[in-house]
Amino acid sequence: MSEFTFCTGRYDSGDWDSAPTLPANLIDSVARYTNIAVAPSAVIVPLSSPRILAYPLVYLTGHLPFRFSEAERENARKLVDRGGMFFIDDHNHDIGGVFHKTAIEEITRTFGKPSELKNDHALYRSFFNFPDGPPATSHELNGWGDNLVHKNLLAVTKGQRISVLYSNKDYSSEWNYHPDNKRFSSVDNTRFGVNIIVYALTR
Amino acid sequence: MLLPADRRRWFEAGCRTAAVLVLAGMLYRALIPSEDSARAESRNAAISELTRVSVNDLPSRIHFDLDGIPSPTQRAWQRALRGAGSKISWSGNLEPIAISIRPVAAPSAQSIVTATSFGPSAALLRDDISTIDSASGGRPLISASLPIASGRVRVVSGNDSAYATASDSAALKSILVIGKANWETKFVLAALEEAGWKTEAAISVAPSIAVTQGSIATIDTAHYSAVVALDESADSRAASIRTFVRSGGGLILGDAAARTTAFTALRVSEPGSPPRASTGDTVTRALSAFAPLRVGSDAIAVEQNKGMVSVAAKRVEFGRVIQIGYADTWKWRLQGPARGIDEHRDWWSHLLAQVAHASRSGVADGAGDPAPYSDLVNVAGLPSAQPQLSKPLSRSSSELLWMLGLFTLLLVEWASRRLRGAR
Repeated sequence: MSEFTFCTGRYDSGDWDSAPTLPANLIDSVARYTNIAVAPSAVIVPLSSPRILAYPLVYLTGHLPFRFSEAERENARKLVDRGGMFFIDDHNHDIGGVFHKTAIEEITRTFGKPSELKNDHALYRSFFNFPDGPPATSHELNGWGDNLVHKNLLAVTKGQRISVLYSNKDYSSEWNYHPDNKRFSSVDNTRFGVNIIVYALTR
Repeated sequence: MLLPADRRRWFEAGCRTAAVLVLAGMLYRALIPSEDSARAESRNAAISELTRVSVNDLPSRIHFDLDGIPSPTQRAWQRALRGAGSKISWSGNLEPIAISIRPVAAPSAQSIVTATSFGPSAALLRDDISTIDSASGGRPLISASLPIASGRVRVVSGNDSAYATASDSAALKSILVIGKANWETKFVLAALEEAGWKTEAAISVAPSIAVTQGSIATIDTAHYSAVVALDESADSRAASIRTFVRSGGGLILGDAAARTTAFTALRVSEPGSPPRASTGDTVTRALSAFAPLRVGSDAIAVEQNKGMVSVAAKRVEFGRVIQIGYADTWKWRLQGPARGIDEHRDWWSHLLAQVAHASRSGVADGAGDPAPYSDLVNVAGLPSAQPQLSKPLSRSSSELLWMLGLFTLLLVEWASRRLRGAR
């Protein structure tokens, strides 16, 4: 049976590769905490390629304007319609920023309008327990970006299941470091990333 | 040389003798069982004919020339005549027609109707409301799924028809899916839910940690219709799954689960070479990774791929097991053609329907006339050439002739005597 492979989606409009060490960090966490068979290396797949359909969880991030081409939009819709999931993170941590504005517009156009995800959603219990909802990032707490601590994530759901998860919390900065450096943290801040992956694999 | 008066007296004596002989013959016919035969022509004529021969003397043989299959009433009458000692035979160019309804353990259809009609006319499958399906003449089989398990369903071809009534329905329980956290487990679960199966799941995410869906109960036929064991994460439940299958439960065994020793007693095939992915233009289940199965004498091949068995089944005491050789059927759903998602869902649902345990609950009396031609053959045997029987006259009409002859003889004899002045 094929193993889980972390996939970063490459889109034409912006800096899709702004968090290059995040995939390795999350792969390390999945291998560390779970018995999920995970590929040791992540992949980068163009959203415009049908190969993207081989990866039912796709991570997208960036700082710059975010807009799908027609081919990217078609594949993205197809992936969601067939049961796949996107995790899109605003690397600016700024609801007034260009990524947020354009991403929300594109998400609405492609998948439907996202809404606030309740903080008692199954996502927050899928592996580790986050009773207060999405964990805050150091970038939020230090006042970077929009100087806000975002209480909720946004999501487009299909039935009971999240098909597009959108974050303004800048997990792309929070988790973008070499996995060896986890030993310097008292609490591993990538644990919520494990929840996202376990949720995608089990719901 | 006799005088005319003497000849006349001899003639009168002859008439009297003939009358006595006729009377003796009639007496003999009344006392000795008849060796007469009867013949009924056409289905419509048969009832009146049957009524008459049944209330008068019973012929030793009755032959029917049929232009259609007799009704259940007529066949019941034929059966009664045969029981009373008459030999029944028939001839006619009739074609078999039959229908069956069986409940299916699947949420999308409660009954499968199968009808056969070999006649040249088009066959129509109907229920009490409307036509369900049709087949052109010469196509022998119609099959349809019905969501409702009650009511009468009829197949009509030309003048003939057969009908059946659903006699029970299948009461399904939940399906338990056991697997590791991966795309195969996720999308198998999704496919079964979309098909309408009530599912519960135990998905292993870490040693001794599982994401569960539903309240996982004791694995028995009171709680579950079938278990889908996809991989080695089901090992810890293998003993209870074994008991479950032996008592009638269904099991679908994934390739990874079948490779573990815990499922040795239940697996359909010995583990062969590990699954290998095929290549092709379109991703279907046939092109996802697949390990050929070796089917023993106690199993049957359910599906073949490139001449090798990819899905096989066997019975284990009261339960059924299907083993699949495919490892990543989810790719069919994600990367397959536009209908891949539907095909993936239907394929899994169909497999499950073949093993799922379902208790039966009666909803109707099961009345029907499902195989009228076969019933006719049971009653009257196979069609035979028309025997050389008496004309299709009834016994009572022949007796009328005998009476008429007797009356004529006596009248002639009486008139002859009166005309010559004798008393």
